[in-house]
Amino acid sequence: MTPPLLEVNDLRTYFATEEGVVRAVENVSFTMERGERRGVVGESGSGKSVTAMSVMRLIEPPAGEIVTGEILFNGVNLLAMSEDQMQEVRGGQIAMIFQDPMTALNPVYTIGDQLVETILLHQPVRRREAREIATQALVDVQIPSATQRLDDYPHQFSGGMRQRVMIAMGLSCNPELLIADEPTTALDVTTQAQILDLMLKLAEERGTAVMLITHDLGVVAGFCDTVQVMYAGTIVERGSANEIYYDPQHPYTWGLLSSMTRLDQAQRQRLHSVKGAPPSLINLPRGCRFRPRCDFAIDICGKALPALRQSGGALQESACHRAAELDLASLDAAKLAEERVR
Amino acid sequence: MSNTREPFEPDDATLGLLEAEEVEGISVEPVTQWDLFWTRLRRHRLAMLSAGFLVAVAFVVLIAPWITCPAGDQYQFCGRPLEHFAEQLKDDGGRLYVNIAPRGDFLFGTDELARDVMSRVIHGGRASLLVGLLTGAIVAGLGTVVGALAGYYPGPIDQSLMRFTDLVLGLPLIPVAIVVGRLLPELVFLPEWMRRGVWGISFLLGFLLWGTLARIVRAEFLSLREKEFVEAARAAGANDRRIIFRHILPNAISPIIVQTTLIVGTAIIVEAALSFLGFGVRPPIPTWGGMAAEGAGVAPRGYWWELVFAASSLIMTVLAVNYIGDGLRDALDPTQTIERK
Repeated sequence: MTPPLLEVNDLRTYFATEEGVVRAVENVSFTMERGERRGVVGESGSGKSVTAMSVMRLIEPPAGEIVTGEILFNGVNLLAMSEDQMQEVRGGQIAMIFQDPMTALNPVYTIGDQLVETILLHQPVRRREAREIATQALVDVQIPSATQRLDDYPHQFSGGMRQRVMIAMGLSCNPELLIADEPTTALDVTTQAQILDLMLKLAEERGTAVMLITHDLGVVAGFCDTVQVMYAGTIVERGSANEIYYDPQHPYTWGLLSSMTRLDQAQRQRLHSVKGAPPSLINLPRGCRFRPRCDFAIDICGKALPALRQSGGALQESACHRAAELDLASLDAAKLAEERVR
Repeated sequence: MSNTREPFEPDDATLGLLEAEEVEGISVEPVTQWDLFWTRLRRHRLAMLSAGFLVAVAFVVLIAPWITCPAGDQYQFCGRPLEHFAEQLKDDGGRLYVNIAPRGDFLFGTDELARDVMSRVIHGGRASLLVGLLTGAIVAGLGTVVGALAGYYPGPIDQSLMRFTDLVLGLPLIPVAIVVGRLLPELVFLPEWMRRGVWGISFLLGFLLWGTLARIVRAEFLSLREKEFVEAARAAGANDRRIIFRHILPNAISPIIVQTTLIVGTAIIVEAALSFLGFGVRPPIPTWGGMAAEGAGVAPRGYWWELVFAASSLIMTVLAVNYIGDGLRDALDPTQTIERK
């Protein structure tokens, strides 16, 4: 049996700060198959990005540290690799696309230089061949007159075009896994969908698995096969996109979904919101981390941290004590919001 | 007065432009950072004037062997054969060729030892420019490397390098330079070329002056290392060396260029001060500082020329270097609005 593309076991990534240890990622385990499109959603500070950075081993000591865990990529533990080996993996087998294309390109080099550099680092080709690959990569991301634009500097590109360049760079070495950390957050709404479409189409053609980190649930629903929802450094729910959207099992997922505006919503109707703010990752509440903000908390929630258990759909798992008894899908969030105000 | 206008009739030149524009479509020649930099630098008149002056000085200094007496310290002026040495030492009135005021055959006059001051000023320029450039190179190398390492590797490396930098910056420049400059010729373990002349002084000044640049480079690296493009480079598999030298350093080049230029001016001044005090480049190698000291000795007796020519060469050169530094700073800072100087 071939191992899954990516298997993360019991990952803990902590950051040391003046105030104390920030437990940014705690006990996170998940697997990704080849070609899978995984959406990772959660609020700011829920550990989405840190998880991705841990996979790339871009967490820099002494500030942050991967305390325990295993990250198996094609069955090989990335955490046991030397820095030199890891440099082969980064950009080669695992590529990453960053949030802000305005700052992710080096302003003093042409984008051709930067593409060629990445290609030369990972492929045994000469400079001229690398330039041809780079040109093709720009053609693939639908940048017009690619040959000329290769010699342009980043500031001569618009935001959307720069993100296309980043995608070209990410995919230029045919990685097996592409991590996209909020790739469309910094872009105009009208270009967001284009960029995502393009990225996922290209990834599919190459059989590249995509880990799409976002806080935009609409994006996840449209583009991902599977979803994992993160809260305060842990995975609170995961499953196929359909399962999560139509039958959320965790109150947090439910809260996120019902706080989205909908076209069919009645006018002047109060929007549901998840009350309170995410907990400090230094002083985490006892028991379930979501308990202080949960509408459905009971005694046990303050005592024991719930583990991920199968609940709802076949692939669905949720970390909630009451997952089995609550029927969140049929609750009317709007009514609850009205009641809460009163 | 009528308000009617002549109908627009393009002449040939305009037509050519219009056609060219149609062929080119709306595409515009890309303007690179370097183009902008050159445009801005060219508009800085003082800097351009200074650059012209320095190029002229450098040219004269380079061709010194062909236009001056050898090494500028011969007891004669140019063009007279050495065998007539004794005759030439006396001028028409039977006097020695000493302390002659500027005139046709000695444009800058002669000094107390009957040496041609112009030849010596030109040779002194060699020493000054060489000290400036060598010191600048040493400072650029040392300051950049120390600052880059300190800024890129936080923690113990940063701490130890910067505390060492503080120590160097804390040294009083002139006294330390005097003491070391005094000892330099006696350090027998050093090769001869290091102990005398411009090399030893340049190394000494280089090691005393790199601190400011190191601090500037460190500050640049501290802010640049957090930029997303650095993280993107790491995510693309670049190692530390590549990130430091290929990704961060080119972004920090502006302050390095400016600071190094200013250090060149400082080095020339400090070398002159040391030579003036007698601890710099040793006689008979002529330097502007040394000549100023000699000139100052004879100036009270009315022989003003050696002092004036040596000192004004020094002042003009250092001014020119500093104006170029100013021009570079203005041209390299893209946030600054263009202002005619």
